[in-house]
Amino acid sequence: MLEFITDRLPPYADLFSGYTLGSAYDEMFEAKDRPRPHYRALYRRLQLLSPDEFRRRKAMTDLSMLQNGVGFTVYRQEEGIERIWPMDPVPRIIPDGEWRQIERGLIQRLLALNLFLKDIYHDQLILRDRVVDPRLIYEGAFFRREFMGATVPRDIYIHVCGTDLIRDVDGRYLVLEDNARTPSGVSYMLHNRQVLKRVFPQLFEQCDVRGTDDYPAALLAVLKYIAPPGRLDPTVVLLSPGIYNSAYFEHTFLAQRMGIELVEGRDLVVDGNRVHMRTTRGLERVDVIYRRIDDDFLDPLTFRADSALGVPGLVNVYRAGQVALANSIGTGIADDKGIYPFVPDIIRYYLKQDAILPNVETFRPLVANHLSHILHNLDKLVVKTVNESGGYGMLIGPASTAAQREEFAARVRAHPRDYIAQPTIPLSTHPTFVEGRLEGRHVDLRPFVLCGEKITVVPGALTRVALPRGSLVVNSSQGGGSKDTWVLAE
Amino acid sequence: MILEVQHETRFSYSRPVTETIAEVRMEPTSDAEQSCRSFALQVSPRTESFRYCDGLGNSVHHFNVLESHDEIRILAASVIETHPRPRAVDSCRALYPLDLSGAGLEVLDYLKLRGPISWSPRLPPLLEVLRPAEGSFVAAFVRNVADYIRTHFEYAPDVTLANSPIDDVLEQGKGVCQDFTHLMIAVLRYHGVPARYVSGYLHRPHEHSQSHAWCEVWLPELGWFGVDPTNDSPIDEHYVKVAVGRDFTDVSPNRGTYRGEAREEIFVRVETRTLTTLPSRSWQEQLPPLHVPLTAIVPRKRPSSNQQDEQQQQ
Repeated sequence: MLEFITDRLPPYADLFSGYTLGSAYDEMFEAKDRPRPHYRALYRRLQLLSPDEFRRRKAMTDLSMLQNGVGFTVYRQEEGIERIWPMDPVPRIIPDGEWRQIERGLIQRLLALNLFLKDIYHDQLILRDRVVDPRLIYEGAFFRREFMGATVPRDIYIHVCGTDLIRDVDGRYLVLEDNARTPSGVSYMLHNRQVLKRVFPQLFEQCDVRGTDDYPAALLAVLKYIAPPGRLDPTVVLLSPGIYNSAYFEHTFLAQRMGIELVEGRDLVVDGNRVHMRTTRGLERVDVIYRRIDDDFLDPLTFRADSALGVPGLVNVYRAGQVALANSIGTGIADDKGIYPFVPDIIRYYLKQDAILPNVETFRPLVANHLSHILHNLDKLVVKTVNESGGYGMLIGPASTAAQREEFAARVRAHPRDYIAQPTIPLSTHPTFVEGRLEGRHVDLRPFVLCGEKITVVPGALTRVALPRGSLVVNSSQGGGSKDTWVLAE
Repeated sequence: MILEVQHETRFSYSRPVTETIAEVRMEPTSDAEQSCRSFALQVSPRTESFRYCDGLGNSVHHFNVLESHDEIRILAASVIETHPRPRAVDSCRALYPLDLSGAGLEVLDYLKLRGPISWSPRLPPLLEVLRPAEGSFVAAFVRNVADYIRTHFEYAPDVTLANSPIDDVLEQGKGVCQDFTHLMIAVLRYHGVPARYVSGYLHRPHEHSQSHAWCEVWLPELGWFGVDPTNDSPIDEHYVKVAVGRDFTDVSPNRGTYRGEAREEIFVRVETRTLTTLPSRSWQEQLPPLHVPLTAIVPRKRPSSNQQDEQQQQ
């Protein structure tokens, strides 16, 4: 108790004046004016800054984002227009102990998901044992039956996974979803750190924050690890759909940081069951492709014939082991929201362990009593389309109109496989600079997990923040912002 | 019965194209009903070809031609020994509705309407008239569906296309084996009987040969069992099975892309004949030579296009 009393500071802190705590878990405060231990240093620092000074620094971050072109194209708004991802200058802090638990949980999860994918595309034991209903797989939009029986380098399917975590009212970390296809956002994690260091140098130095700079090197090591056998100095490229893709900024950023070529489909050509890059010196063999194009558009010969983004014949070269792809083909069945409710069972099945990071309670319309629960509680639940990501195709019950609920009820009844529902969880809040002062805004956490020789998690993450007051939608494509995320050293 | 099949496909372009890449599903399968004794694939312009087994168990060969060309010729030649099939569909005594507990997981792929076998508002009258009674024999239902399609739809080439959905054959009342097979699959799947598309050849003595398509139904005791909705014939030694899939799009004999802007024409020759003995090892050297020279002109790069499909017609 004594510690709390000495730490309680006089209320001259203008930035925090009027900061209110809601029912959600607040990342910084355990009670009014009482910061959690790992936030105390930051809290003191912020109190020394006047709102004007803070506004000036915030303007510096905005300018920095603009100059560096950190954008995220928003679909379904003005087409092809890059909007700047707003970065909030107040960092989110995760203490060492919490991070270790997150890290263990993520490693466990990715280990299990990779075993799951290998099983699904080969022996299907988990389906034969009816731990997962086979129909969920065969009816899943991302199951690539074309790829059944194919072996992938070192049996790794998901090399890069972005797992979204949220915290419930008790501060417990829960997995909201996995992103196992072409997860994006890591460039914002890296870029936010650079900006924050520049804008608040003293703030940063006061805390013992673990570095994230190693990420590009770690990713490159993973990519080289899966190169075809015998290729000692493998050529690695990043395959992007091009400038109209929402994450193009990230593609250029990562290619540059890894020192590899950024290519588009038309830059690659298949000849003699090898993939080559067109260069000024002629064709050059490519060994590993970090592809940021979805399966559907990857190869018009195997998947969608109308795709102009992909490389004809690429999948056959991959199948023959003459080029490696990260992530592999068909990983979408692992992050399908229809499969998500079974991930704890999947972990138990392959690892004989309980999930370290629990899932959010999930209702499936395919189960009769779940369906009636969903239909009776649409105003309280979040209903999600299983095959959409980025916050599209979602109903947030408490914020919905009767007409929207009716529409969703009809859709859920007609296509039960395509939906799941979860209780509306008030995501944790974090002080965020809004209109000249700090207010609580809801945040989530996306750490990036890499799987190569072993599974590693860079000590950092993308914290996404829902900027409109009360909003629970943090997706960048829905107008969210981001924060630098500090993982503290021991 | 020993059959030799020659399946020649020629793609002809009005202007030279580059970067053709193609895969073909033309190698007959080997199973209890047939043994593929020899298979040779020749491609002109000359190029190396590669082979893999796809997710559905079919043999696929693929190749590419980088340089400029105005014609691609593919000859797939095979020798197949077909075996007698002693069982008739009626030997399956399973009753409707079908119990699938003895089936493998793969039947799940063959129970949904998709692709060209998609829902059509013209389908319900057909589904109704063919609806099996509870407790009736599933085999009788399967036979009824084939008989109904054969007698109520007219065989007519040039009415439908290689990518026609079943709505076309329902609207026109006519089509080819591909359409009849798709239609039969739709009715069976709708009533919970796993059904898949078979691509292959039918040898008819003294008649013009073409590639053929029929339907395979999964039945307890029998497993996958072939039924032909086009011809009033059991699937016997005259049938050569090449590939199976959910519908035509999974098994199209050729699929490919090229770069360039040109008009593409496709010519297909299929010939089958019976042999009295298995041929010697040098058999493939006696196949007709294919010689397509590479063209010398190098055209400007153009966006790529997809090769046409060859419709399965007989």
